[in-house]
Amino acid sequence: MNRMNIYIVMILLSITTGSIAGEADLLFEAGSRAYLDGDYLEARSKWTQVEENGWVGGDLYYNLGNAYYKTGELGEAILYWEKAATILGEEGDIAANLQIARAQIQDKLDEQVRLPVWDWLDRTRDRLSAGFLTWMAILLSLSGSIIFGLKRWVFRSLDNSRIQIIVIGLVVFLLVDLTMIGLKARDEKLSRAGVFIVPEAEVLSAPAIGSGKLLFTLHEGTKIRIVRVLDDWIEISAGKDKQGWVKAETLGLI
Amino acid sequence: MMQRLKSVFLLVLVLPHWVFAANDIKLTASVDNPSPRVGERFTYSIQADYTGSLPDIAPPDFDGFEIAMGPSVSTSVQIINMAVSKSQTISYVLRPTRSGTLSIAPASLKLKSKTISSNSVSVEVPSDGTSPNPGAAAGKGGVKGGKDKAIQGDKSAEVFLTATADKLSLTKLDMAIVTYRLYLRVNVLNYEIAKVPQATGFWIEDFPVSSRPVLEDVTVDGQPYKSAVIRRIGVFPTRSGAMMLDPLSVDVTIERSTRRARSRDPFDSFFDDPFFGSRGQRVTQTVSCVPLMLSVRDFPAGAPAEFSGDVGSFDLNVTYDKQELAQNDALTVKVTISGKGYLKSIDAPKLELPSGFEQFAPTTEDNISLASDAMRGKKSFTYLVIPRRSGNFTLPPVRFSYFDPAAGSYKTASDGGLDLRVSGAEGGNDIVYSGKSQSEVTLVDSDIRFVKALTTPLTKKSIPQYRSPWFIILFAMGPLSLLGGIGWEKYNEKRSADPVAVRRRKAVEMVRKSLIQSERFAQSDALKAVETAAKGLAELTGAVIDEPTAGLTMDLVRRKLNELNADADLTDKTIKLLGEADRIRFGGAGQTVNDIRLLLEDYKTTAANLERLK
Repeated sequence: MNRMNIYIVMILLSITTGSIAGEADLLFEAGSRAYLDGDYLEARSKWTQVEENGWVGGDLYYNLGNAYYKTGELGEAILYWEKAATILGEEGDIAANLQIARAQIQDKLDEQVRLPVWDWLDRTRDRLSAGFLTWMAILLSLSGSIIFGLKRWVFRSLDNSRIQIIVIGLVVFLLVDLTMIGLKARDEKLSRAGVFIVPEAEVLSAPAIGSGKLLFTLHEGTKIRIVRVLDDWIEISAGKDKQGWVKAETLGLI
Repeated sequence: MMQRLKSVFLLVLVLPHWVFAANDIKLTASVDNPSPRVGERFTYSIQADYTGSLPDIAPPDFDGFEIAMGPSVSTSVQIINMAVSKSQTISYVLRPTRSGTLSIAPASLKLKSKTISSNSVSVEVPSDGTSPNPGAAAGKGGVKGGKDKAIQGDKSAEVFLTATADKLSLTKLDMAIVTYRLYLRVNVLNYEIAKVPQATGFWIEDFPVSSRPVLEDVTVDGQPYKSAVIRRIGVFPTRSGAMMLDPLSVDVTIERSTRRARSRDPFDSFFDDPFFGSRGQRVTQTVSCVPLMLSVRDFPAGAPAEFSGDVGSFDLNVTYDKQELAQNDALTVKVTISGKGYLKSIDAPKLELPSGFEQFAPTTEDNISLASDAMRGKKSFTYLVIPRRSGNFTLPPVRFSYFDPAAGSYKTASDGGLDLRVSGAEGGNDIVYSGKSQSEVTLVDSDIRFVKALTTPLTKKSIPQYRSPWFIILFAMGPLSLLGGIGWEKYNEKRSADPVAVRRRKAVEMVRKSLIQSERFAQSDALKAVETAAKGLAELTGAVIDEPTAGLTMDLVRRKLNELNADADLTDKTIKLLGEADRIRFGGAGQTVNDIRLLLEDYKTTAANLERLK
């Protein structure tokens, strides 16, 4: 397949998937063409413009990861693939690329021990959009109220236990949904994780260069969990038992 | 005195022989078995007969032999007719390493400038191709070997142990049955295996042996013995060449005393209670058999490709649980290998499958036992195979190759394969595939995956919907409505619970309706207008003073309203208005429409004041 054919396939794909050829889409396509031509810096520039214009998308983040990887910036590449994974899930191409990139990371950290339910919660709320969660909460709230009201004032002779089960089920779903919304709201203020985008970052015991002792150093591409933010310092948790403060500019937030 | 002189005389006679006699040395070499088999042990001895001192004897070069044990040295001195002669015997236990006529060169020693040599000895070693006589190995030869080791030349040994094999020459991984037999001429209280042979280079399987050995009467070198088999093992050599099975050692507890009459059965007290069985001094003696040498042949050339070292005589049975199945369904293939041989070492045969077939690791079941002469049984391997493509396939036959020692050749067992039809997921055309298997794809390099086209539309970053006021309103609408409804319901329930209040509410409603109706009648029918208003007021008054409307009297109304601390004007007005209909009815005309309207206003005011009374 020659390049022209690939262009055609990519453009057709975009059309068939219903994307509107707005400015963002045109920039996206321009980035794809530059990438195909091997001009990875140009591709990166186009896709970055799309992002800076306030657009979000799993494909956009994935492609940005590729462009950063091809231009030798491992940390940024991993950062954008991780971002893509929060939207599209870590599978397929994203998983394959992350596997290749992670093999090049200098730091080897023990896996953090977390309850599987927290991982499930993270994955689920990443995959569910804020809009979906919002409308789901409204729907569950209204339907629960209506069912309860009908049973109380209209269909008094209906089997009470069945209605109770339905209402309890709706309430449980509603609580899960509201928990997800709450966590999403928290994520807006404080990212859950980040990736080092500098070759080497010093991790200190306190958020101050003068008083904080150097605990250890971490390197580009290493993913960490964020504990809290204080001005331009971020407290991180790395691996099973390592914790400390790093300068905010060393990290890219997922 | 005479005795002392005799001694001096003898010393004078003998001393010159010792001091001045020429040192005459003679070396003689001999073997105890002139025709040992390859690997079979035999003893080579150099006997030196001498009168003086004996220089060191240089042993010959044992080319073609391997020294299994030795050298061991024994010396004896004899004085016959005042002549002193000495003898020293140096013994080696040797094993021929090849067949043919092998010669052992003379041993020699140097006496001053003179070299004294022994004779050379030749042994005839039968070639490997000649099969040893198992009967001889298991019978007299074996007994002799064991006895020699056990009694160390003492023909009157009370206890000795032998090891015999049903075959001394065999193919690798073929089985030889080794029998350990104890020979007794004394009462034995107990025995215990002290040292199990090292099994380096062998797989060993124990045959079951009775815990109470069966005794047999045998004669060994003219001596009557009781004999019993104490251990029986199957030996599978894993290497070729001359393989030595180390000796077994047994601790035997013997009763020595003969004061009391004894049973003729040496095992009489073998397993008896020690308290009753103990009749004399107990002695524990360790007896060992000689090491057993086996000549092990390697597999002959020309092994089939599937041969993986299995030896015996086997049958192969392959079953498939279906001949037709859907794509991605499971096909179960069961391969059963049965027969005799070392079944434990048989690995799962490899299934040759067409490309597009996934095969899972097989599960293994076996039922193996040691029969009287061989290991027998069967071993089954169950494979789960999943076709990932549809079409008509030919599964190649399952093949299993082994070496049959009885026939001396390789054999290959196989089934007929299987013609398999795999239906597609949805109406796809079936394709015929050949039976070629897939091969691993070699990865030349790795790279990240290619970029994506825009499969999902880009979305603009915006304030999340859950922060919108509409979300709060819509979300809260249902539960708030529900709460409102429940509150209203509770409020009504509470109001309905007081009958006086309920009557009063109804009366208020009624008086309001009455006054509206009265307004309508004001122009057309003055009497009806006033009657309607008075009726409503009477209902209200009865409800306020909590008395039946029908039983209202002027006095009752006044008294009750006073109890309610009603204003005197209100009381008077109420009583007046309640009787107003009668006055109009009986007073006749004279009431203008305007008068009626003013009167109705009075009703309204009075009713409103009565409503306020508590």
